[in-house]
Amino acid sequence: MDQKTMLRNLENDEITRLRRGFNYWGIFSYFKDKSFVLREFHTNNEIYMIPPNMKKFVHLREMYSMGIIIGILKKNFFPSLPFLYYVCKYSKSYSYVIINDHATELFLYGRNLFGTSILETSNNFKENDLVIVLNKKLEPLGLGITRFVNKQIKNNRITITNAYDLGYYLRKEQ
Amino acid sequence: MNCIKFPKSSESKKLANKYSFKEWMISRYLNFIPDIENFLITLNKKPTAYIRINTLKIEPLLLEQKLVNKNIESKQTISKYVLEVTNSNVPIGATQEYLSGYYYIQDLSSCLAVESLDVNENHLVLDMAASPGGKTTFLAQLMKNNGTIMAIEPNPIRLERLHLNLSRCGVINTCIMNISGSKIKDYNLKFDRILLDAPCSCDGIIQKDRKRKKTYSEDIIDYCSTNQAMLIKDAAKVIKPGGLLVYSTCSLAPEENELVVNSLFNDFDITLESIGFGADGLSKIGNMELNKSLKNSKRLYPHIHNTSGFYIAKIRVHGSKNNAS
Repeated sequence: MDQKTMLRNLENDEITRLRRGFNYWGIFSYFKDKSFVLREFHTNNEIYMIPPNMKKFVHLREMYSMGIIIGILKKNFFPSLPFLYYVCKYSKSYSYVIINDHATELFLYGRNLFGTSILETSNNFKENDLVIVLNKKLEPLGLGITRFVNKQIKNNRITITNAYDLGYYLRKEQ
Repeated sequence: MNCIKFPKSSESKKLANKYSFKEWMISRYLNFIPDIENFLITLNKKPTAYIRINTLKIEPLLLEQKLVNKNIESKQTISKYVLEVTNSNVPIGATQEYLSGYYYIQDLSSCLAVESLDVNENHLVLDMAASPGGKTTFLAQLMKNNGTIMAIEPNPIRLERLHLNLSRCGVINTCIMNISGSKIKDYNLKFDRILLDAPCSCDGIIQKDRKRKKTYSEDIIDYCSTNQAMLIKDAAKVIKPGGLLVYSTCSLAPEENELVVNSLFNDFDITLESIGFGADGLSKIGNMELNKSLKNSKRLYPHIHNTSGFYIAKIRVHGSKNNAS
């Protein structure tokens, strides 16, 4: 392999940081009994959720990945695109913004969000927080970083930076 | 395995000129493709588009409603998971529904190959040459994200595409390994099911990729068929006794299909199970007689079945003869 890939079980302190991340997204109880492995890939520590019966394969040579990537673990947990689906499906308290149809199209092209395109927000975020960007049908489109506190988020200027969006899948394919 | 030479004729010359094909291709097709003129006409038309509903992420009725809202017209096919797209004003590979993993753009023929494997939620399944992941994600869907799929892909560049598609489609039950098919026997694993969608010369997808018409050559058939004969033996060595192996290609060349499967009879105790769709596989090519049960394997033709040109063999492997494993 021309890229360094290694899968391993998580250390205790990594499990603690991961659980803190789950707690932040209000999804601790869903992930409580799930199994995880860590993939060291380039400089990233990627976290994968795996079915329990897959654990026996962790140490097989030339394993590239297992299960589904749910995020990257540095000092804090940074969620992946698949993780957003679990949050939207199972969490009752998370930070989000709902945007209009026109902004949905632009956001999927990697654009930042204008405050005027935001229809609704959760009421629990500050400046530089991570928020899930949803369309009107409450489907996750990606992740944003707030530039302002909650009550200023609908102002007529760019108020949310695009951290990543579903268009990533298409851009990577090309 | 050497490419079989078929004699040229006045008809092959006429058809080659009329439809802009190399004459040696037509002289081959005349020997094993029914209604050849209609076949050649179809190859010059736009292919039918199909999407496979990813039930790991969405209910079929809900997706159909979303497609209607986007003015994408579709109709049912013989697979309950596959829709034929009959009209669309938007590129179906760039909608939010596609990016969300609600569907996968995949030909009906390759979905039928996956369905033939009869997987269940407890199986350990091997997907050889897995990238870009269309069949892998469908296997995961049929297994309801349970059991385990080992998806192997030797090409490091193609690995990332496989990884992305599994992620987009919400697949959890799959391990990706960066190895070739010949290496899997070193891991001492035995599989309940194996899907070998073998790398091939791809003349079945000329409709989708017209470059293939020019690049197709006897050398490619030789190279692919030799590789396929090795891969199918590697697969048969790591299957549990009584397990199922589905061999498929998007090629119409008998050297890459029936002859490859026929070569297994020498070393393995196998039976070919019937598949409920498609035209019968060839059991005679020119003067060459093959195992009669190859009729149970199936050929799909663009002009008859409205799919890519495709071959599927459903092989029950009972064990090896002599010292094959």
